Amino acid sequence: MSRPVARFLSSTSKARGVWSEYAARPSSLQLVDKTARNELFEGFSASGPSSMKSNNKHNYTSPELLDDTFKSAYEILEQDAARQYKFIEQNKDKLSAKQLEKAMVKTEQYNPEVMYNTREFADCLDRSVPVYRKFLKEKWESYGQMITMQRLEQLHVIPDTLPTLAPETEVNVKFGHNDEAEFADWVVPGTRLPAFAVSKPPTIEIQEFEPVENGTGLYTVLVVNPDVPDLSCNGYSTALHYALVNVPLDFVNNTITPLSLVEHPERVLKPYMPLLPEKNVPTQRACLWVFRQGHELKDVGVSESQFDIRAFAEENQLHAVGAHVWRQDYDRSTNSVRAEYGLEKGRVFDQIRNAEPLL
Amino acid sequence: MHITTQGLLAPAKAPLRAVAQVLNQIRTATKRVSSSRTNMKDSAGRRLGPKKFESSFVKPGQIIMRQRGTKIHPGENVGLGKDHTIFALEPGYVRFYLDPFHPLRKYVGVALKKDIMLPYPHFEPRVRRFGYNVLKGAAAEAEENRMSRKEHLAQPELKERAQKKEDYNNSKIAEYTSTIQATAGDFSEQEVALGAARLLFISKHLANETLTEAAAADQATFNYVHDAELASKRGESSADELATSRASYIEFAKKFDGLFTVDFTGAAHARLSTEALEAKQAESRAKLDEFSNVKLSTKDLKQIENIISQPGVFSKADREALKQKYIPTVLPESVPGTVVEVKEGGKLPKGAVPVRTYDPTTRSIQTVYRTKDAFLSAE
Repeated sequence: MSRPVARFLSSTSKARGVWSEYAARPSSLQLVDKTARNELFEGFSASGPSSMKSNNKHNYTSPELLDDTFKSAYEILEQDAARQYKFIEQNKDKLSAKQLEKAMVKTEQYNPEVMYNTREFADCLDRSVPVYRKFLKEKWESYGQMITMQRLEQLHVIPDTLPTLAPETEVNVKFGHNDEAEFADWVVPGTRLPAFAVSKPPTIEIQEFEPVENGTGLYTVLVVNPDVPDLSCNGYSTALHYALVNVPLDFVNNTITPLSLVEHPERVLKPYMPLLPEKNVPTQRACLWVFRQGHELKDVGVSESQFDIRAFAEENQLHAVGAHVWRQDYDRSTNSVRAEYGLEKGRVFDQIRNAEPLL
Repeated sequence: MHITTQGLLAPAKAPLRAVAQVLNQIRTATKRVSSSRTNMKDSAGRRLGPKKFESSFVKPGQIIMRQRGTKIHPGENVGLGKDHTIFALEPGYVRFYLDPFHPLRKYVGVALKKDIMLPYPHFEPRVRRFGYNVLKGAAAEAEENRMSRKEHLAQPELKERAQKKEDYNNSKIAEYTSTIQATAGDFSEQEVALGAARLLFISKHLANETLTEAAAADQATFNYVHDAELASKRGESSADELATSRASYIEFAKKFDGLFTVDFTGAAHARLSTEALEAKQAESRAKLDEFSNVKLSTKDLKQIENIISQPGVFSKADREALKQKYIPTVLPESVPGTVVEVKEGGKLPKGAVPVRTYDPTTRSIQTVYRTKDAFLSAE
C-alpha cells in the first residue's frame, strides 16, 4: 500500500511564512500535539493519521485535492496575517490596548494550528495570548455566562443584593476540600449544597478576557447571604460571609486558592464562614460577587450582620464584573459544621408559616 | 297534485300555483318537548368583581377578586385560583396597579406595608416577609429530628454508603501506611498517619480529575491548617500552638511530598525525579518493544499490562495509547505465524478465521485467513 504522504511544507518550504516564525510569536501558538503538527504539515505515515481512532485508519486517504486546497488556503491566510502583523508593527504606538488586542486576534484566528488547539486542547490554552482569550470568551458567552445570568435573575440575586450585572469575567467556584466527585468539581450556579460540602473556603477562578483600561489589577470578592431571618421585623437581612480585598489577578494568574490566602492574610477582610441555615428556614442563597477595584482599599471596616453590599460597593468604588451563586438548606450535617466553627446549635422554626404582618 | 282555475283568474296561472302550494302545505306534528333556548339565557348573577378594594388590609387566603378569565392579573404576593379567583398569599394592603413591563394588563397585589406602592422599583431589593415562629424545648427537638418520608426511606442506603466509604478509606490508609513505613523510617507514627491521609485525599482528587496533583497537595495542606485554626478559635489550642502546628505541618508536607506521591489509580509510590522518570519510561518502552510483532500468550499479556500500569510511570493517556499499541484487538498481519495460507479451492484448515479487508490501492476486497490466536480480545 503506498499513497502520497508529502505535504506542502515538507522540508524545503517550511519555516518561511509568518506562522512558522517563533522568534516574536509565543510558542503556545504551536499545535500542542507534536505528532499531529507533523502530520498537518508533512502528511501522515502509512499507519494512518494519529488523530483517527478507527482500527481501519491505515486504509484512510484524504479526499481528492484536499492537500492542494489546504496549501493555497494556508498561503492566502498566512499572507493576510503577515499584512496584519505589519500593520501592528507600524501602528503600535497609536493603538489603544483594546484595539491592539483586536488586531492581535486577527493575526492568528485562522491559523490552523491555533484552531486545532482551541478545538482539541481547550483546557490548557495559554491565556496570555489574545486569540485564545477571544476563543475562551466566545465559549463562555455561549454557555457559562448564560447559565450564570439565568440563575442570578431567576433566584433574584439581582436585585436582592446588587441592582444588576453586566458580566465581564467568568467566575468559577470549587470547594476543593471535598473528596467526593459530586461536590469536588466546579459548582454549577444555583446548585443546592449540603453544609459539609461548603465547610471550608472555596477556590475561586476569575477569568478576565480583555485588557482593562486604567485597571489596577486588584479585585474584591464578597459572599453575602440576603436570606438571614430578621425576627425584629419579621423579614430578612443580609449577612457578610466572606470578604477578600486587594487580590491581584491577571489573565494567567486567575485563581484564588485557599492556601494562597494563608500566605497573604492581609487580603482576607472577613474570614470565611459558611452559610448555616436553621431548620425550616427557606432555602438560603450564597451570592458571590467579584468587583474590579478602582484603587487599593485601605482600612475598610465591615459590619457582618446587616451588611449593605450596595453601600459598600459605592463607598469603595467597586465595579461588579462577575458573580456566582449556590444555595443551602438545613441538612443533617449543619449541626456538626456549626460545632466545628464553635457556634451553638441553631434555632428551630415552625414548619408552618404564621400570618403576622411585616413590621 | 294539480289545481286548474278558470274565468278571471285564468291568465295568472303560474303565480296562483305557488299560492295554492302554500295553502296545501302540511305541517306535521313536531312539538318540541323541551322549552326553547331563549328562555334558558338568564342565570343568577355569579357575584363577580372585587371583594377587597385599594388599601384594604387582607390576611393570607382572603379573596380579593372574583372574575371570569383574568380581567385583572395576579401581581405581588397574591395567588390565582382555578377559576381565576385572586387571593392574598401574605398579610398586607391591596394595591391595584399597572406594570410597565406589561402595559396592557391591570394587576392586583398585596403590599406588605402601608407605605409601599406596587409595582416595586425594578432595581431595588424585594420586600419579603419571613413569617416563621421559633420553637422551644421539646417541640423544637421533635421538629429538628423530624424527617421527610424520602429522607427516612433513604437512611439504610446512606448508612451503607457511609460504611462502604469508611471501609475503603481504612483499607487505603493501611496500604499507604505500609508503603510509607517500608520506604523511609524517619517519620514518626503521627506523621505516617498524616502522610497516609494526605495520599488518600490526593488520590481521590486525581481519580475524579477534580484537582491536579499540585493543587490537591496544596488543598490538603490548607485543610490541615484550617482545621487547626478552627480548633484554636474554639479555644482548644492557643495562638502559639496554632502557629507551631501550622509551621510544622507545612514543613512536613514539603518533606513528605518530596518522597511520596500517588497516581490516578490510587497506587502510592516513591516520587521520581524528572530524569529518573524519563529513564524509567524509556526502560519500560524498551521492555514493551520486545512484545511487538510476536504472538502474545496470556502470560505475555499480563506482563505487558504490568509494565504499563507500574505506579507513577505512565499517565492515563499514555497508558491508553500503550495498551492500544501493544495489546491490539487483532494482531497485525505482519506478526509471523498468524496468517494461514489457503490455496484457492482448498479446504479451510481448522481454526482459521477469514478476514475480509479493503485494499484502497487496488480498490478490491481481499480475504486473509488468520489463526485464532491473532484475536486478543477473544481470549
